[in-house]
Amino acid sequence: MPTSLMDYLRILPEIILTVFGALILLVEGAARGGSRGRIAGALAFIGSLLALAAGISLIRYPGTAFAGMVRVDSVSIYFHILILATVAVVTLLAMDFLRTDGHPRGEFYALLLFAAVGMGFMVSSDNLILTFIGLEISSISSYVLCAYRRHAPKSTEAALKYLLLGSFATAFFLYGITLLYGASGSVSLPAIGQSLAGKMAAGGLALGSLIPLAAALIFVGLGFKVSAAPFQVWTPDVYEGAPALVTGFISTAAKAAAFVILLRVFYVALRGYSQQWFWLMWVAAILSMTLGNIGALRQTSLKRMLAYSSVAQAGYILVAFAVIAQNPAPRVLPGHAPVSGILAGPGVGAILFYLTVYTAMNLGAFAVIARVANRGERFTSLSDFAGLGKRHPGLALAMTLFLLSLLGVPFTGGFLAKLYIFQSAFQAHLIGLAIVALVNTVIAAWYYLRVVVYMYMRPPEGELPPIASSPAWTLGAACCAVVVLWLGILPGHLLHWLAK
Amino acid sequence: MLNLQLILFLIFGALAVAGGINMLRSRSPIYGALSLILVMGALAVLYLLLGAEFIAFVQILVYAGAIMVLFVFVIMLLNAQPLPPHERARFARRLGLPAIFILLGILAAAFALRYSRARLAAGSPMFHVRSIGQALFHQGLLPFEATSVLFLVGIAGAVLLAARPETQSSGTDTPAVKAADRSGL
Repeated sequence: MPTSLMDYLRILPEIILTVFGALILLVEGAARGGSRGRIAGALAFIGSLLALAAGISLIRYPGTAFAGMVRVDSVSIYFHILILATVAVVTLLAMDFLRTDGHPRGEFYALLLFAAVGMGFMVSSDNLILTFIGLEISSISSYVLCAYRRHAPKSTEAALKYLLLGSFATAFFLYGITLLYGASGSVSLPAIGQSLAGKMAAGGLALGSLIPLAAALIFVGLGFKVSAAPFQVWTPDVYEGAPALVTGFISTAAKAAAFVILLRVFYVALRGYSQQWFWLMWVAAILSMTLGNIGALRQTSLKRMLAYSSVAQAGYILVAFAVIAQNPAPRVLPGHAPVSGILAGPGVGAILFYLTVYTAMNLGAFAVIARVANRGERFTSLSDFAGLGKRHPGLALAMTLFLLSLLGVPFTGGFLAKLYIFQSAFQAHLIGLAIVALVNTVIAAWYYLRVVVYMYMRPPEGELPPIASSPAWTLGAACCAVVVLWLGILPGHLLHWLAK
Repeated sequence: MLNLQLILFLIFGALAVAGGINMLRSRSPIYGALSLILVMGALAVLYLLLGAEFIAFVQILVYAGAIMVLFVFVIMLLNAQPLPPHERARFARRLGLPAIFILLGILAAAFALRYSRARLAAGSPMFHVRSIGQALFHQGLLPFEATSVLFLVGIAGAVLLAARPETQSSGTDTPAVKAADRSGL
C-alpha cells in the first residue's frame, strides 16, 4: 500500500520535532560564545509550539496511518497535547537554568525534542515494533539528559544506573513482545486482541499458557518505566542525581507515555485476559502506594522525597488500571476500537485526568527545586528550604500549591484527580484497594506538609546565595500553577471533553 | 557447476573450522578477534552458497563489520595482554573433546531427522532480498524511519557526553569523572 499525504499528516508532530531537533544540532555546531544555547532554546520553544499545534490539528485526521502502524484516536491526540505542552514548558523553565548552571550547551533541547518524538510514537503506535522503537528513542534521550551535569559525579552515576537498569527493563519488554507474537502471530495490537479473542472463544488454551508470561514480562518492562513497585528501586537514585528539570520531565511526560502503552497493551491486546492481569495491577498498585509513601517519610533531600512520592503517585494510577480490568469496556468490539472507544471504559477517564494534573504539579514542584537548588544544584535538602517563605515568597507560594496538589487538598487539581480514582474504585467494588489508597493519602500528608512547615515556620539556616530572577522560568512555572488551579476549581471543560 | 560449489564449500568450510580452532588456541586477544573475523567471513560465503544472499551480506555487515570492530576497539581500549601460558584445567582437557563430538552428534541427528535429503537438495532459500525489501519499505517503513531518529539520538548523546567541556563551572561540580570521559560515557 503506497503511503499518502494523510499518513504523514498523522505523524506531523513527530516530523516537526525531528526537523527542529536536527536543526538545533546543526545550529549549535555553528554557534560561538554567548549565543550558544540561546538560539537552540528559542528554536526548541518554537518547534514544540508548532508540534503542539500539529498535535491539536490531529483532531481533524482520526484514523490509522502507515498500514495500521499508527492510530490517531482520542487517547493519542490527548497525550500528544499533554506531552508537547510539557516539552514547551520544560523548554521555558530550562532557558535560564542552563546558563546559570554553567551548562550552556544547546544539545539539551535537541534531546528534549527527540525524547518527545519517541513519546509521540509511544502514544500513537498501534504496533509493538513501533512502540518499542518509540520507547527506546525516549529512553536513550532520557539517559543522556540525566548525565547532563557531566561534572557532578551524582549525575553521571544516575545516568549509568538508569542506562543499565533501563536496558534490562527494555529486554524484559522485548521478551514479552516476542512471546505475544509467538502466541498470536502478530505484533499489531488489534490483531493480537482479535487472535487471542478467537483462541479464547475456541477454548484453545494450549497456547494460552504463554500469554500470562508475556503479560508479566511486558508489565515488568513498563512497570520499570513508570517506576511502579516492585520495580521502583532505581527511582530515588536517578531522580536525585539527574538535573532537577530533567527529573521533572522524565517523571511526568515519559511516565505518561509509558502508561499509555500499558493501557493499549492490556486494554486492546490482552482485553480477554483481564481477570488474570487484574491481580497484577492490584498487587502493583498496593505495593507502589505503600512503599512509595513510607519511603518518602524518611527523606531529607527534596528530590529523593519527590522520587518516592512519584512511585506512590504511579500506585494511585494503577488503582485505576485495576478498575479497568474489573470492568472491561462492553462497548468496544473486538479489533475495532472506534476512535473514542478506548475512553469508553470506567477508570480510563480517571487515568487521563490524573496524569494531566500529575504532570502539571510534579513538573511545577521540580521547577521550584531547580530554582532553589541554584548553581550546581547545591541546595536541595529540606533545611535549604527553611525560611523560603520570607526569602522568596513567590517561590514558596508556588511550592506550597504544588505540594498541596500532590497531597490532594481541595481546590487543587490533585484533589479531584484522587477523588475520581477513588470514586471509580468504589464503583467497581474494589473497596479494599480504595481504603489502602485513602490510608496512603493520609500518610503522604506528613511529608508533603513538612516541607510547607519548613518553608514558613523555620528560620533560614546559614547564608544562602540569592536566587536569580528568570522571566522564562516564571512563565513556565505559571503555566503549571494555572493548570493545577484550573483543574482544581473548574474541571468541567476537561471532564466534558474526556466524556466525549 | 555443482562441483564448483562443492569445491568452494570445502575451501570456506575448512577456513571457518581453521579460524575457529585458531581463535580458541591463540593466547593474544587480538589474534583471537582476527581469527573470529575469518570465521565470520567464511560463514558468509557458505550462506551465499546456500542461496541466502541477504543473510550473507548481513553477516558481513553486522558480524564481521560492526561487532568485530567493537571487539577490537574494546581490546585496544583495555590494552589486553596475551595470556600467560598456563595449565588447562584437568576437567576441560578430559571433557572438552568428547563434549564437542556429543554436541556435533546431537546437531547432526536433529538435522537428519528433521529434514529429508530431498528437501535439503532442493535448497529453497527462505529470504530473498526482494521480499525483505518489500517488507521493510512497505509495512515497516515507519519503524525503519523512526530507527534513524534513534540512531541520531545515540550519536548526539555520545558526542555530547564525550566532548571536552568549554566552560568550567563552579560549585559542587568537580572537574573529576575523567574516567567517564575517556570511556565515552
